[in-house]
Amino acid sequence: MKDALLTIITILVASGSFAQQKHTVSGTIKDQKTGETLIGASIQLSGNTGIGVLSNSYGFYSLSAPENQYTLIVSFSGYENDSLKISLTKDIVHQFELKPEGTELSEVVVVARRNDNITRTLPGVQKISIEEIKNVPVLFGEQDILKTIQLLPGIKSGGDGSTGFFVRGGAADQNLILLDEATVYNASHLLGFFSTFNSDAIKDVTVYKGDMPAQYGGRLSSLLDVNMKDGNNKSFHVSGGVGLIASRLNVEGPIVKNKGSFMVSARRTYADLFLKLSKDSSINRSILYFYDINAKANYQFGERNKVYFSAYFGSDKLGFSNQFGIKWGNTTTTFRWNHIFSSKLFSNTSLIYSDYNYNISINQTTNKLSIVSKIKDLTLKEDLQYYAGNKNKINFGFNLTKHTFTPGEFLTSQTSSYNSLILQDKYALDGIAYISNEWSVSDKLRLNLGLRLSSFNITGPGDFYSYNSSGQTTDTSVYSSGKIVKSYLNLQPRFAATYQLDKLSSVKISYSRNVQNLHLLTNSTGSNPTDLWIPSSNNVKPEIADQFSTGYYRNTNNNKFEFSGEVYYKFLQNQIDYKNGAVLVANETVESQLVYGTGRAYGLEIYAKKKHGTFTGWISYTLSRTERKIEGVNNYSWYPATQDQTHSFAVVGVYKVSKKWTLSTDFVFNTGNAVSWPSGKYNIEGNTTFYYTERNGYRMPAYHRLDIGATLQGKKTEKFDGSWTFSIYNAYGRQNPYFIQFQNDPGDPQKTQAIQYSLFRWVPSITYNFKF
Amino acid sequence: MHFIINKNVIIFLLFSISGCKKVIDIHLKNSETQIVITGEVDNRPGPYELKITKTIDFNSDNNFPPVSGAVVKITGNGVTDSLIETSPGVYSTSILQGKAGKTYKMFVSIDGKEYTATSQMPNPVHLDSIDFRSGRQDALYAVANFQDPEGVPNYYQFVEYTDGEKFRNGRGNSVFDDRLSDGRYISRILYNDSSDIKSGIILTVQMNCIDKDVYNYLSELSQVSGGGEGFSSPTPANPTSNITGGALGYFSAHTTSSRSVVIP
Repeated sequence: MKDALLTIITILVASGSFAQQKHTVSGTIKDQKTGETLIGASIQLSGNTGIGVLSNSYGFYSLSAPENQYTLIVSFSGYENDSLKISLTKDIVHQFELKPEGTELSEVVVVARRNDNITRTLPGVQKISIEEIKNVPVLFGEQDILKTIQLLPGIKSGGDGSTGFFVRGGAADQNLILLDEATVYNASHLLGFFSTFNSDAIKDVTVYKGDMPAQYGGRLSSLLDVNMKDGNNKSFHVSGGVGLIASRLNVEGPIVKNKGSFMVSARRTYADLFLKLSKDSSINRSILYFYDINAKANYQFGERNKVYFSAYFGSDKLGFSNQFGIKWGNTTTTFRWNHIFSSKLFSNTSLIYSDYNYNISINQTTNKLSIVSKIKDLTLKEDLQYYAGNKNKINFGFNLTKHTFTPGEFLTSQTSSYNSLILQDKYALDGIAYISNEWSVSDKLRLNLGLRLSSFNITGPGDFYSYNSSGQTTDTSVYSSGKIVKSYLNLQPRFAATYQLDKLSSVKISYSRNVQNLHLLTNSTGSNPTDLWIPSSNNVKPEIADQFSTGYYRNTNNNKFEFSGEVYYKFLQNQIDYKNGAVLVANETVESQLVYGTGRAYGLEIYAKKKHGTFTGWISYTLSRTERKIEGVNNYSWYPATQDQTHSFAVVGVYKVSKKWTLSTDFVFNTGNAVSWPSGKYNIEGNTTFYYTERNGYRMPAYHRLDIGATLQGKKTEKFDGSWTFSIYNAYGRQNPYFIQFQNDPGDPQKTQAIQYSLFRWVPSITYNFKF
Repeated sequence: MHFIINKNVIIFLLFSISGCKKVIDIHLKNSETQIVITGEVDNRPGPYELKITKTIDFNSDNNFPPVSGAVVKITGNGVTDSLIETSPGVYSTSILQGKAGKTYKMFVSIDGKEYTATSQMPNPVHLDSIDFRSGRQDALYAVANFQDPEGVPNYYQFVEYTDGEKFRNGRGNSVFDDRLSDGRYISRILYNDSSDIKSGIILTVQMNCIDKDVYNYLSELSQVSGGGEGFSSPTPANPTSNITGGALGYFSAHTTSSRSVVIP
């Protein structure tokens, strides 16, 4: 193991030192109309040089080559290609501005047909454009990133209308969701029916299914990297939409033309208006809504410095008949400073704040109670990218996070049936250092070698408990402020290789290890706002995942069609579950309720996509197995995890009928979730009680659904652009099971029956979108 | 703790708009027959009963076969009582008297297989009064008012009777512990089937002080009643019984305090 590490480090360091006498061309790639920086645009040197690079998440690129005459070709999906003749005799800085596809007055249009899926070193990466998200019909017509990615292979839905998702057999809390680098702890609104991401404010979405670049980590299964729009730095624009259930407004424009811009996007639902229709007084007096605001501003100081400020604020409110209220939400803010040290060294420094909290208030005549719970992160992050020659790009950096957990503060009135209780805050310091190298060994072979070192420290002040096997406290240790209670040091190697068979096909192989030190305790498969995040501690060990994957990638017809087949195997350690009847709420010794075990997941993912033309869309199919083996559960033998879906199939199609009409559809089919159902019944004091023999030994009925949508584009002018979107969710009204309940038959007390509850059938929606 | 919101509230709101439910046919596996024992000793005068039945397949009619011919003994307070089978599967004590603070041991032998359990009868807590609170759609729920003794863990079970008949009690709220309420004056809403609560009927609420293991059993039982109450319930499993030897059910020694009121 040690030797292997040394070799890796030697390669990482040595591979950077091949550079000969060369010059560098560097700069930024932007959208010509809006000034938005373009992430992942490709810059190639003409001829068969094999020299090329993708712009980074701030649009920056840097290429080095021996002295010569070259043509630089820049391409980005949805944009016309641009090129520049250069005579590389000294370092050059050049900013590219690409013309969006389909803008008027373009003579010879060369539209980018990208093949990054072939050339990218990491397997298991899915990029999805906001355009694609906009075209997929969804529940209530609210475009939704999280629901759209659930149509991709290897990403499973948490159920009808749920934004909770499971990647390659991982749990819902094993996904790292970043919004402009800030962790989003609860990515759902209204308990999962909507995601926290307002697609008006989003520029770019990438999902990494386990093989993440070394600068990311902290979750076992995936990274969902969401970048907000910077805002148009050329002119002011307002866009928005009015729908049945929500309205949105987005304003963007320059702060100083070409130098800085801002974007503010807000959204509010009014779902509770429907509740007013109910005759039931406790329903029509209920409230149920959310709003969220995304804001971002950036400013360029000279050629070398740019600062960004981004913020998200979202809040949900639910009030039930004046007796019960809960509100919850995330706040994230990110301050970033891009600095170009040299044409080869790019730096980004981020200061990030993220919090998630919920507040419950209960207002019954004598029982008054309020509960507050919070998680709060403050992060300093430094990322550096060194473009060493044209064969190596070295990423390195560190980050430092202070986590503060407030598990619960319960305040009650004098006459309440409950005592006030303040659970101790918990503190953790999380330090990360990483280095990775994207190394083009030859024209055909590319490697991505990375190492990530994490040091997670749980610190005082606080009381820390030890438990025996039956969960009783055996020892209590008191730690003072800042004193380290327990440290976990984990080295996480990452390796990926791509061998390009020809211009249109490649094979990839990878291994990666991820470590997770924050764990979500949840009693259910969906997301509850009251689910509790706990850190690794003296009792809870870090979760560890090792994933091996390999794939074949093939494009055809000049990259018009994209095909991939990937297989993966993942082994999970220190997985967390809880004892029967576990008390997770308001429990200072909640860790005594936990049991631990291992998990394994493996599968095959097939994906075929048509990216261009009047008809676009994709088909995805996943064949997989996900199992857990937990102490004290199912006789400590393997059982299928709830999210184990043997078959998962999705088709998405978008057809541009004419300039006015676009039709879209999606169809999904999944094997039902694994569930525990009774295998017998008995009588306890007159009540029929069910007898269980195994964990998750049954299957819910299969889930399938068809959605259809149509967009009517109004007259489009320079000044105004309006469109109508119509959709029907669950078009053939399939009653998909939401849950199944067993009970005595009210009509015949001699019989028991199974009752299936379903949520949505034929949900129509209509939305008007505008832009000026 | 029922006051913690779960997804059911939202689901309930959504169902009220768009949901639907239907009876479906599911093929459930059959399982090996299990022994089910339920026995109680309380601080009222005996005799006390212990019932032994068997599990049946899900699709069978609800006739739970009694187990006859078992040897059943309960020991406590210096007395060993051999129970007599008074009707098939029902065994009664003859001399045993329940007393608070004493430990009672159950011994059952069926075809050479032995099952044992131990339960300690807690000190009684006085049920002060019953009043009513209205809920959704004119539902009416009984509220039990009582003073929780400070400094000791207490576990409560509530059983409701209308006109002397016990009514369906499986709604998940029939047990309560003072983990978060130690020493408080408690008003506990009993979310039982409110269709049984009709004006003019006599409602009796029996509050039992149970021991911790029995509380855990009943609390887990209420979580899985109805095969789990849906999305936000934990994965259903058999409640942890205080009976050793592999039987389902529980053995409880408890004190009781009752109040009867005419429903307004």
